[in-house]
Amino acid sequence: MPIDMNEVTFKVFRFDPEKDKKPHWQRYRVALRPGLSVLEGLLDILDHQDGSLAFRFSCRGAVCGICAMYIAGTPRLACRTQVAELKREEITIAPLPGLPIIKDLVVDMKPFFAKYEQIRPYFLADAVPGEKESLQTPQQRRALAEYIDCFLCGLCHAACPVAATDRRYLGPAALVKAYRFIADSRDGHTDARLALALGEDGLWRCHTIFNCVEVCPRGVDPTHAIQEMKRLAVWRRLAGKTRP
Amino acid sequence: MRRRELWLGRRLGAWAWLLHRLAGIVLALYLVVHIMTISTARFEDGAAFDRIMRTFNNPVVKLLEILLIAAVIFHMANGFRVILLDFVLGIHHQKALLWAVMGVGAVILVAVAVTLLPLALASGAR
Ligand code: SF4
Ligand code: FES
Repeated sequence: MPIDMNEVTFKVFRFDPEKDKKPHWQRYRVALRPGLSVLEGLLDILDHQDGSLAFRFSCRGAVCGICAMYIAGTPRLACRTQVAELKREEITIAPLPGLPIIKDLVVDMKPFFAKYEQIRPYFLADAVPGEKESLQTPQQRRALAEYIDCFLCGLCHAACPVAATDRRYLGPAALVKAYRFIADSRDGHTDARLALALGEDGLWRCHTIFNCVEVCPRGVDPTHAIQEMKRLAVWRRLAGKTRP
Repeated sequence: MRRRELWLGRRLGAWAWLLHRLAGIVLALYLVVHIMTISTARFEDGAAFDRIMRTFNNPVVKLLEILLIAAVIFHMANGFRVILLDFVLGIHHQKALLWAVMGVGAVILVAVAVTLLPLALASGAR
């Protein structure tokens, strides 16, 4: 790659279900400037070249997790990906795979969130709400540290070959949330939660491929969570605490 | 409309997974051929089996055997890694684990190759 490059090409996936029968690729030249992220490049296109391009963003600072897309062949956050770091003259930008495309780079996240809801991502605490605080020791909090930072961007789901081939597979994001509650000292519904995560489309579908760990922008380790649950499920079954 | 994509992205874990499945398919197919071959020992008082063994006794088949053993070793070594991961052992070191089991596998493969290669060369002389 020439270092003195001052322009790159964005090869962007275009599809408008109201007008197009099939998707096509459209190329835009984007002027490089120091610190240019893929998201800023897309905003430049939107502002100066093509107002019809659709994509999602909000925080622009890797906080909201909404700008997940397929950039140069890898699921990434557009706002967190530096154009210069990709070291490419032409950068392909496509929507996340496996989800219905609404327009261009915008996908319908409903199937993803339906899976998330399946694991009941809230406390199933028995205590009367508001009566008293549920305190945690620093150690108890630390047990969650590896799993709690997920902001549901969907990158791991997009990177997972199992989710790509089995549309009903719960996927890394939902499963890591399931374990996040199991690991939480304030929840205490381990068996009910395991039952939600097991099942035909649940954690046994995971083949420890680790793609989710590779792409997670939050340093969450879904594979670790899934393996912990597999082990837990086996032990509890062997100990006679759960039935098949 | 959805985009379909299987992301491998040159990440080791994904390649190990894919190769594991390919090796598994190769081994399953081999097993069918193998069982068919040894079943011929029931016919013609074993003469049929001897005939097949003679046709198999050539350098090409011997080299294929080395490849077959490579598939066995890969499947075994990575299988061991997967078992460890299922016990949540080395979960944060899956790549190092892969290199480690591949290293052990490579040593076994070299041992197999130095044993089989002379046989392969000699079999051509018959
Ligand atoms: S686990 Fe990571 S990659 Fe997956 S949805 Fe959460 S933040 Fe995104
Ligand atoms: S815009 Fe919020 S994470 Fe990229």
